[in-house]
Formats: sequence, structure tokens, C-alpha cells
Amino acid sequence: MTYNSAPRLELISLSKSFPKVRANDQISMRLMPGEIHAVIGENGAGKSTLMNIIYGVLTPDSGQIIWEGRQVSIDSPQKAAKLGIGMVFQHFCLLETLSVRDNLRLGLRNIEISHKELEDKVTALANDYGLSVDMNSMVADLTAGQKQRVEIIRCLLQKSRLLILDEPTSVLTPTETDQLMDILQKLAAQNCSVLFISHKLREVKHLCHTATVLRAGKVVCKINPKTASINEIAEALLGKHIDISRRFTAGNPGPLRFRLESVCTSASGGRGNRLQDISFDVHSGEILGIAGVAGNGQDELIDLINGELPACNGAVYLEGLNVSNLHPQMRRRAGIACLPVDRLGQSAVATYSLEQNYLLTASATEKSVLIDWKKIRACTEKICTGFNVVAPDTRVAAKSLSGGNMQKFLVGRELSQARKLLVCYNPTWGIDLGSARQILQAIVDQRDAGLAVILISEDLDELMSVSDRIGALCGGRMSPTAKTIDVSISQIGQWMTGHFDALENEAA
Amino acid sequence: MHLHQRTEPSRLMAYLSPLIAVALTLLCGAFLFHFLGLPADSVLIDFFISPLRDIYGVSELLLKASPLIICAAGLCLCYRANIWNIGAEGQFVIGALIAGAVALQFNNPDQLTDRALGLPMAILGGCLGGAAWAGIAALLRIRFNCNEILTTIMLNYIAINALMWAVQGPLKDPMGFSFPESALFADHLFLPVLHSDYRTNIALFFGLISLGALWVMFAKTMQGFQVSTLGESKRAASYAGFKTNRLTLIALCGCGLLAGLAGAAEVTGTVGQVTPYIPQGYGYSAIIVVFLGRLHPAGILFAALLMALTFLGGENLQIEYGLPKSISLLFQGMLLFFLLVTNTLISNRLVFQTHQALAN
Repeated sequence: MTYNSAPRLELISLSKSFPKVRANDQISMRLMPGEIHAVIGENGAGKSTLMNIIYGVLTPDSGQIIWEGRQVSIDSPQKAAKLGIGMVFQHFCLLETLSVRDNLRLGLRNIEISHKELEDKVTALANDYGLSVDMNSMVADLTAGQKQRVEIIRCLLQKSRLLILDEPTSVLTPTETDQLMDILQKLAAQNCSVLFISHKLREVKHLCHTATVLRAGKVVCKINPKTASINEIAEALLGKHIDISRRFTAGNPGPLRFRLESVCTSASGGRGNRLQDISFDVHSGEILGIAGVAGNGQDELIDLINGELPACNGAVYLEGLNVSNLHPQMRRRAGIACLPVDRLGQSAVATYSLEQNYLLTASATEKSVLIDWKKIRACTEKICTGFNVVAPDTRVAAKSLSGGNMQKFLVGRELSQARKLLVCYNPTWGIDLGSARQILQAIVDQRDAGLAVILISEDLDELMSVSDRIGALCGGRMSPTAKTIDVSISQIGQWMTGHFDALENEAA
Repeated sequence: MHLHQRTEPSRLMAYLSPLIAVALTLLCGAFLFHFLGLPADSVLIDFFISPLRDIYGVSELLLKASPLIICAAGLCLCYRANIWNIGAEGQFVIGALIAGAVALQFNNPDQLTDRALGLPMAILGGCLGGAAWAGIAALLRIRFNCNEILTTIMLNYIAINALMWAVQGPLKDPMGFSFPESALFADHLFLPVLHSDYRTNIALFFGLISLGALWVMFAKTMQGFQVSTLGESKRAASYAGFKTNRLTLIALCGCGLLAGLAGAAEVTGTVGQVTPYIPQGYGYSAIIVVFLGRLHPAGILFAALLMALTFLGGENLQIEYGLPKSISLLFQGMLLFFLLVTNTLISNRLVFQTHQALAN
């Protein structure tokens, strides 16, 4: 692809430091009109800092920003919007209780525009880019994909010539992801520039013209994702060679270990989804993957299996025994270990030391009234060495560890206690590819030793490479499950959107 | 001058901030007395030093500190569990009232059973009364999710009015010339004193034992670990399968029990009858003691002694300079205020910047 015009945005050696860390170190990059430019990097590589500088949330310590040939200082998001920079956040900035139309009008409150004009413009956008959305529906009723579209429309109405998308596909189903790719490609063809932040290398390869790789706050290299292989991109990202496309070995399922039988939960408690009529089973030596967009009942499912959330109907069986009425500590003693997604709030206490956090769940199997801290320390140290947790010692507060290290510690803790069943939700979320690989390998090793595993994840690639059998959650309901090797991505996509009978349709 | 957030809370400041708060309180007090036209140095000496001139003064200090230590130990249990019990005062009053009522049933010094059972029964009654009073707030919290800050404060008023009613009604001494007071307790109903020349009694031991038990509980026992987990993160506690309702009940009733013990010790220790003057504000002052002592048993001990000193010093100033009694409360208030201010320095640091540096 060749560009004849001047760059839309040019960054010249931008730097930004925080106490203890240099988040951005002399970053320079250039973005042409109509270019889809990926910024990729591990967590903590400085992607978010850079985007926040471009969008005016943070001001750089040094360096220049050249916008369409002029040097500018972007000191606020309002200024950025005025220049023509639009940002689609990972967590949408929409008012849930208002209609799409009202939300769009709010975004345009500085611009005089009649109802008719707004209507016409949105229709035009729908026709040009496939950005169709019902103006009258409430934002709360929209799916994540539709909300994202509203955000994009809002940016386009403000005449944005640069769209920044922060991990845009993490909340989307495969179909929605494809639609987004389509929209972005059409936008680029109309000369709009796109900055695409992602850690999903497949998407970057599919969509982007150029990729800038960040590592530890510095630009490591610029890659052409069209010609580079996934492994080459991963190597640039990590600075070392890891074969990330390799699939894990398949399991060898044994006898039935754990079963849910038409389990429902009540809607009371006020949060999230109620689970409806969930039935599935998992065998020893098997990993059951559960896909789904966040907020479709994953948290409730894990709380249910942990014993925090009571089932109002149906039953939970561990090795044929009904454990529905056992409380969390008794379930742990029976060999069930659960690891929810909220690392520093639910599955661990941020202010506690690693030792105390070990005791948090290990206490279920402690019978004595007095705590044997010596023993606890020994166990904690064993986990830290076994899982390469980088920490000065076992008495440091959990919150002082990096996300990846904490996650390794927690998976290690749960694996050390899961005698029969491990349930974990997004065990590799937000951590670098190397650590992620290590965590998954540890889970696979335990599976090979006979553990039953339920792996709930929003990362479909991860599920496809690890799980032996796969299903999906949508709106608190569970799809049928099938052997991973027999299912297509599009099939799982259908399940994730609640079309559970699609399997028969496809076969017919 | 700016506040910069520290990357890690400072351990040094955690120990230093109570000392800085004390220093700032003294400084402000000096200014206060100066502008009242009093010699600041000698007033401060009379406030903080004179009460400790002799053994009698020290014994009075220990006497005052005892109920503070016991109440603070209880409150510490609640605050570690992140339960904001403001009701130690009410639990103290109910403890004193029940202990007094029980004691009056055993007031005959000629009967052996009264002599043997009177004091233990009174103390036990006080403990149970305080625990039950706190239990009301616990049940409201567990059953209806009522905010314990509000319920415990309201229960304080109810407790004080219950005391007023009792001394005007059922407990009023028939021979008391219609004063709103109960009969005087017989000698066998008084807590043993440590030395016959001084008023300090074994309530001091109750306090030290409470602090010891508190330390063992949080450093060594599973129950203590569960309570502090509840305080740090309720989500984590219920994930780990700790029974959060039961822990709430344990923390509140444990505090009520200790505050009730303090009340019982007060009525059987120094007062010797049930009077309307039992509520001295120990339950409120103990809140300051807990935070001044950093929720740690050793810290609480020192803080309670300091707090007791403000009570004694305040009395001294009433006598020497005719200052109002509320001078004690003023100092307590300043102390809490400065403590909260200096606590900011634990997770933040002061940065002095010249205008030049800011401009750059």
C-alpha cells in the first residue's frame, strides 16, 4: 500500500514517566490517512499510556505530536475530539438508560444539528459502512457489538479522521468481530485512519496494514503484518522465541467426574445473569472449555460451582455424590477448587501477603484452630518456585506483584488444592504470552495426571488450543458441548449468540 | 507543596504519624492557652505532667485507662472486620446497668452465697448484657443489612435512657431520699484493688488479658484470620467459604462483651452503685484509642494511657485554672483530627517544590 499525502499523525520521540517506571520512552511513529495501524505489545508495554497521550488524557514529559502537518499539544479529550481524534474505549462510555439517539446527541452537544440532519447522517453512515443501529432502542438493551457501533458512529459524527480502538474485539463474538473488521476496512478505504490496539495477533494480521511493536515502553520494530507470520510477530513482541501456534496435546478422558443437572439460580442478589437449566458434565483427565462473551453467566457459574451461589433447582454431582448443599469450604475439602476472574478482590486479598493469600483457600483443609505459619510459608514458597513467581519473598503484599505473577501464583495455589476438579475463569487474561503458555501447560499437565478441568474463557484461540471439549454460555444458558476438534469457530460463534440448535441446522 | 502518592505505604510513617499527631496537638494546645491569656507552658505541664507526679497519679491514670483498654480491644475486633461499631458507649452502659442490677440481688454481706457469687455473677451479667446489646445491631445488620454505624449510635441513646429509667424506677434506692440512684453495693461486690492505698483495681488485668487475647487471635488463630479477611475483602471471605454472617456476629458480640465487661468493672470498681453518671464517654474515647494505636494491641495500650491522661489533665485544669471540663474532649478531638491528617502521609509523601521547578 502506498500513500501520497502527508501523514495524518506523527509522533516524535514521546516520553512519559511515572514513579518507578518509564512507560513511554522516545516513541516515534507515523500514521497515514487511510491506514489501519496496529499497536501491539505485552501488558505494561506502554500501549495504554501512548493512547492516553494521543487522546489528551495524559500529557507527555517530552516529545512532539504533529497532527496533519501542524505541531499540536493535546491537553484534553475535548481538544482531541475537536482535532478529529475519536476513541472507542474498552468499557463503553454510553449512558445505559438513554436511547441511542440521545446518546448520539449528547456527543454532539457543541454542534447545532436538527433531528432530520442527525437521522440522515446516521442513515448515510449505515449505508456507507454497514453501521446499522436502531436509533430508538435503549443502550441497555443493545449487545456489546451494537454498543461499540454506537461509539464508532458517535466518533464519525464528530468528523473523526483518526479512530483509536482499545482492545475492541475482547467483548465481541466471532461474527461481531468479522463485522467490525469489515466496518474498519471500509472506513480506511474512505481515508479514515485507525489505531488498533490488540494482543490478538490473528486479528492484527488479518486487518492491519502496519504494526508497531512496543516492549517495555520502547518501539522495538515496525512489522508488516501481511507478510510476517504469527510466530514472527510473537517473537518481536516477546523478544524471545515461543511457538504460540502449537496446540496443546489432547487429553485422554477417564470416568465421569463432575456433573451439573438442570441447575438454575434465582435472580435475587441483583447482579448479572441468572443461570437457567444448565446441564453439562466433565470427565477426569478432560478439559471442558466454556466460551462466551463476558457477562453471560460466567461469574455466576463459577460462584455456583464454588458453593457461594445456591442453586434453586437441579443438582451438582461430584463423582456421583450430590454436593449441592455443601458450602464452599466443604466443596474444597471434597476436591473442588475454583478460581474466579477478579484477581485482587475475590480470589485474593490485595493487601494480604502471598502467605496469607495462600491460607485464604488452604484454610478449608486446615483443621487446627491455630495457624502453622511455618508450614504455610513452606507451601507458599513451593508454589512460587514451581510456577516461577517473581517476588522478593512470600511476605510481600499481593498487590505489589505484577498481574502475570499474581495470576501464576493463584493458578499454582488452586492447582495445589484441586484434587478432583479445577474451575478457572480467564486464567491468562491480561498477562504476557510467555506466562500464559506456562499457566496453560501447568493446567494441561494436571489434566494428564487425571484432574478434571472446566476452563471458562473469553479468548477463543486459547479455548481452541487447550480444551478437549467445548461449549458456550449465552444469557445464562449453556450450549450443547462437542469435541473441540469437531467444532468450527463459526459454530461456537452461533452458540455464543444463543443459537443452540444451529448444530442440527448445519448438519441438515 | 504537593502530595505525591507513594508507590508503597511507608512503614516509618505508620509508626511516626501518631507521634507527629501528638506533637501537633500539643502545639495547637499551646497556642490555644496562649490566646486564652494563660501561661501556655505551665498549663501544658499541669495538663500532661502534673497528673503523673506521684504514684497516686499513676494509679489514677491506670484506673482511667482500664475501661479504655477493654473497650478499645473490643472495638479493634470490629474495626479489623470493617464493622463500624460506634456503640461501645451503649454496650458499656448496658453492661454497667445489668451488672449493677445483678449485684443488687446479691447485696447481703451476711449470706455466704451472696459473698461468693455476687461479684462473678455481676461481671458475667455485664458481659452478657453488653454482648446482647451489640447483638441487636449485629442481627439488624445480618437480617436487614442495616448500617451498623447508625444502629449502634441509636442504641447508645436507648441504652443511656434505659439507665435513666432504671435509676428513677426499679433500681432506685428505697432509702435514698428519692435521689435517682441505686442502693450502695456491699463491700464484697467491689472489684479487688491492687493495693489498699490506691483505687486501681483488677480491671487493669482484664484490659491486659483482653489485649493479649486480641493479639493471639489475629496473629495465630484461624478465627482471627477469617475476621480480618472479612475486613479486607468481603468478596474474598465469601469466596473462601468463611461464614460472613457468623463473623459479623462474633465481631460485634465480642466487642459488646468486652464493653459490657468494662461497664461492669466500672460500676463494681469505682462507682459502687448505679447512678446516672455512669456514661463518661469511655466508649467514644476508645474509638480514638483504637485508631491512635493503629489497630494493634501494643499501640492500643499506649494510646489508652495517653487518652486517660487527657481525662486526668482536664480535671486538673478545671481545678487549677477554672477551665471547663470539655477541655479534655477538645484535646481528644484535636488528637483524632491530627491523626487522620498525618495518616495521609503513610501512603502519600509531601513534596516541596519551588515555583521555579513548577514552571519547568
